[in-house]
Order: sequence, then C-alpha cells, then structure tokens
Amino acid sequence: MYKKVRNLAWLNLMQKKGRTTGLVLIVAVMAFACFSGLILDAAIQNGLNSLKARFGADIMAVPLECKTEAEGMLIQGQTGYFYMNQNVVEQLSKVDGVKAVSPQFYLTSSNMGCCDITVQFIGFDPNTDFSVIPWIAQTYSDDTPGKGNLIVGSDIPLKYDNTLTFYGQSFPVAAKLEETGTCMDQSVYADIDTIRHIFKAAQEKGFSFTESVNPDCSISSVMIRLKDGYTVDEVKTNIRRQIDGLQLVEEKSMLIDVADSLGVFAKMIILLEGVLFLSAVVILAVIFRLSVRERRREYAVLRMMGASRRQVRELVLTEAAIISLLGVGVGITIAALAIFPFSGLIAHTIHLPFLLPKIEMIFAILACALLSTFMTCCLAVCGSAKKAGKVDIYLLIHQE
Amino acid sequence: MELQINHLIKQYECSPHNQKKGREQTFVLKNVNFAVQSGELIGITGISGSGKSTLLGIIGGFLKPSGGLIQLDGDDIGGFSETKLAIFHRNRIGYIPQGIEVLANLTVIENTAISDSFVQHNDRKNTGENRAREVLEMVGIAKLAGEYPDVLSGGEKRRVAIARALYRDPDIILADEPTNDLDRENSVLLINLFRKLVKDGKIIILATHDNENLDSCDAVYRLDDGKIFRMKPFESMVLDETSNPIESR
Repeated sequence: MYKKVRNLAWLNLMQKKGRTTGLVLIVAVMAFACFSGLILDAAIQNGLNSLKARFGADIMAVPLECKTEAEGMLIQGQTGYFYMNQNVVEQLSKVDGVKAVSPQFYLTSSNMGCCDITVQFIGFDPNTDFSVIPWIAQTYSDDTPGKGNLIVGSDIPLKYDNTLTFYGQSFPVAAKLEETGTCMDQSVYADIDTIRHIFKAAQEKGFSFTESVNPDCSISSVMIRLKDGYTVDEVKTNIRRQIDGLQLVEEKSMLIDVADSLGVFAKMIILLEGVLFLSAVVILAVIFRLSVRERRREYAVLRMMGASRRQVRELVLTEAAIISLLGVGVGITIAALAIFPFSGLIAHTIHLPFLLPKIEMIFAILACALLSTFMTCCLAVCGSAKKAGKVDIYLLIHQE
Repeated sequence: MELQINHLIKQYECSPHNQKKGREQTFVLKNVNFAVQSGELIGITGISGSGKSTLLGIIGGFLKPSGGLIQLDGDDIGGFSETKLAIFHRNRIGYIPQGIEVLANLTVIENTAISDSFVQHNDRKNTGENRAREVLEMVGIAKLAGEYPDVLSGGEKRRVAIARALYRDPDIILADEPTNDLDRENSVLLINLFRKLVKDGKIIILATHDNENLDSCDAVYRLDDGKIFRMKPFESMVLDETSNPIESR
C-alpha cells in the first residue's frame, strides 16, 4: 500500500501528463541531437577514411580540362567520361620518380530502355592495377572478375539471375562489393576490355560518346604510384616537362578539399545540435525550477511526514531520471529511424562521402548519447532538487 | 514523558508579510515557559498572529527557536541533527497543520500511510494497511479509503490530515486549529478522540480559537504580545519576561 519514493515520483509525473510529455519531448530533442550528431559525424569521418583507402594512387593523370569532371566522379558520384590516347601510359611509366602506372577507362550507361540502370563504369587493367583490385579482393575471392564479368558497388540493384543489361547486352555479375559510403558504391567495375566492349555495344546502338574515339586505343585516366624518395610535386614537375595535354589530380589535395567540405558540414551539424542540446538543458532546468517552486507545499508535507531533505532531493531527481530515460528512449528511436533507413538519401543529398559506422561503433555511440543525455538532464535538475530539499515545513505553519 | 519549554524566544529578522520593510526585529515569542506531562491535553489560544502556530512549529522541531530550550525527556529538540529530526518527526510527532495539505495523486489510505515511504522495512512493523484503516476509522472516513482527494469535501480532507498525523502512533500530537472545516458533530468526535488518546498517555497540544474545544483541555494557555499566560486551571502570568535572563542561540 505504501509508495516507494520512485513510485511517488512516477505518480507525480502521471498527475501532470501534459507537463511530463513536454519534458520528455525536450529530453528527446537533446537525445536526438546528441545521437544523430555523433552518428553523422562518425559517418562522415568514415566516408573520408573510406575514400582515402579506395583512391590508392598518389597522382591521377586525366586529359586537359577534365580535372573537375574527374573529381566530381570520384567524390560526388557524378557520372562522366573523357578519353585520351593510351600512348600516355607508356610515356608516364618512363617519367623519373614514377614507380607504377595503371590505366582506367570510364563510361556511363544510358537512362534509356537499353540499360537496366544508370551507372558509372570503371574499367581497370588487371595486369597493372593497384587501386581497384586490392579493394575488390576484400569481398571477391578471385583477384579479377574475368572477362565479361562485372563487379558492382553495394548500391547497384541486381536482377534475380545476377545479371545486368547495358546497351542491349547482358553481363553476369561476379560480385557485389562492400559499402564504402562513397560514389564507388554506385559504380560498376570490370576489366578494361569489358568496358570497351560495352562502349562498342553503345556505339552499335547509336550512342556516340565522343565522335572520334577509338576505344581500343583510348583510356580515360592513368593512376600513378610514386617511387620512394620522390615527392608528388617533383614527379608532377617531371611529368609536365615531358608530356603535354595532361592534368594531374593529387590524392592529397583532393582529400584536403573533401576534408574541408566535410569539416564545414560537420561543424554546422555540431553547432546546430549543440545549440539544440544547450537550449533543451536550459529549458529543462527552468521548468524543473518552476515546478519545484510551485510544489513547495507538497515537499513541505513530505518533510513534515518525516521525509529527510535527502529523500525530497531523491524524489525530484527520480522524477528527472524517469523523464530522462523516457526522453532518451524516444529521442534515440526517432534519430535511428531518421538516419539508418535514409542513410543513402543523406549521402546523396550532401554529395560527400558518407558511410555509417559498424554496429559495434553504433552501440558505443548509443551508450555515449544515452549516458551523456541522462547525466546532463540529472545535472540540470540538481539545482532544483537541492532547492526542493531546502523547502521548510515553516510553509505549512504559516499560511500564505 | 515530559515536554519542557524553557525561556523560549522567537524573533523574525523581517516581517514575513512585508519583507521590504522588514529590517526591524519582530519578537513573536518572548520568554515562553511551560511544561506538559504525558496524558495532558493542552490548549493554546490567542488572537491571530499571536504566535500559536509558531509555538507549535518550534515544539515540533519544524522551526528553530531564537533562544531557549525545548526538551523532551531531557533531550534538546532544537539541537537535533537533520537526520535525527526527520526520525523524530516520523516517529514521535503527529502534526496537523492549519491548512488542508493532502497529496492529490495519492488515495486517502495512501495519504494516510505516506510516512512509510520514507522509512526502512523494520520501521514499518506497527504500521501498514490495517493501521491505516484503523486511524481512518477513528476519524470516521474509513469508507473513503480508496478515494482520491479531489472528490473529498474540505472536512473530509481535514480528517485525512488528522489520520495521517495519527498513523504512526506518535507520542506528541500538535494540532493547529484542527476543527477548522469540521461540522460540530465531527469536531466533538475529534475532541473525544483526543481525550481518548491522552488517556493512553499521549501529549496533545491544541492551538485553537474555539472555546468549546478549550473547555475539553486539561490546561489552557493564552499567547498575548509574545508572552504566555495560564488561563486554566487558574489564571496567571507564567513568567515575567524580565525576571529571567534570555539565552540567544
């Protein structure tokens, strides 16, 4: 029949359902801001790390005036193609400071009926490649998919028979790669000859990517790895001295640009969510302070009936703890429902690498958000609890 | 059991009604002395603002005196620690405040037993549902045990507060205008209950304006300008304020 302090706290909350719901929603906003902020930040960092890991070359050589398009393809998931004569591969391999070179051939599919899906094709040379194959090898047991086979990024939907049709021709899919959080998830990979074959099929269908291009002696880019002891700037200077008509994309500068964009985005998220979090803390503290002031006579009755100051403080803190737990549950659930099912949409919208952290990391972030929100709520209410504990029975003796 | 009030003074640094003006010292109680034995029902009377509620508050340990001693069997109540005071309130004092203060989110029986929420299991052996029903029966509202306060009349709420004060079978009952909101019949019932309790060895101190209630008291004191006068069994000033030195705390 008697009520434990925690039961009293629950009954108090239930008596004012409107106020309790409001407080739970305020804590939910805090938890939402905390959890979603940490997850988004982790996903962006993950995306950047993934991009770093996938690039694999020190320098990428592309035709003149195609640097922007190349960066758009690598970072923002734009589709594109550009070509140059494949003689450049041999020329580059002879430049002082170059350790290895590997050509790539780019192509896009059409959004017309002859293709299952619009994708970016990336053709690589299985004999020389050092940027795509190591990554494929993480998922696909064979180093190379074999002629005519495709390997697709994680976002590419497959048909029931594991094939994809491009320009009227069907190609078997050998493997689907792990998610990277980058535009590589929307790309299709194959050896360079297979992509050239698709190019020809497109030409046969009447698609003319570039009028004068002969795919058999064209490539789109050359991935370059440097010898030890050479700097990127030295090798770039050497290349420019010996070969005309190339633009050189540096891994480092490209990643710095991406990191800068991510940094601005991450700062905006942290700022916005920090403001939300702090506002919620202030509102919570003020509401509890007002509530304690309104309920001073109730606390005085409890004190008169033998509750110690500590027990009155406990009562207020228990109310805060219940509200915090409910709010944290609601906030984190909403955040999870808003982020996890729509991570693809978020990545597409921000045009930046975005890769959700692994499950263990998500649980760590969950625990961190839960604890920090819960503790912050309790701390925000500490002052009010102290005030409630100080309420004097004098209030009951002298009617106001 | 003996309760002794010796040289009790209470002064406020400012008037509670007008705090801006209140730099001056207001003496509410000036050198109050009296003693109460087990089995006595004491009445305290006086005009409004004469210090009746303040006196009850100090005896109950709810207010700190500015000077003097309140001793229960030799123990100075004013010197109790916070913890000891909470236990004292729970187990030895039954306080019936002037206003109606019941907790709206608890039923009548839960309100009655609220003090159990603040004690360990061992301290609940003489309480519980049966005891709660017993005290509700004593004040005539046993049938309302499961009701919430919002459906009760003022008199019924008053009786919940009385039942709550009696629940832990306290040694001392301090009742501040306990018959406010009660009709004549229930007032008589309550005074008869008080008479029965003092017969069992309790000390009851009753602050009231009601002459019929005062008639039932074993002794009556009147507070006037902070000084206390004995009205019954014979009228006299208990102690002149200048005849004894006052110790300030």
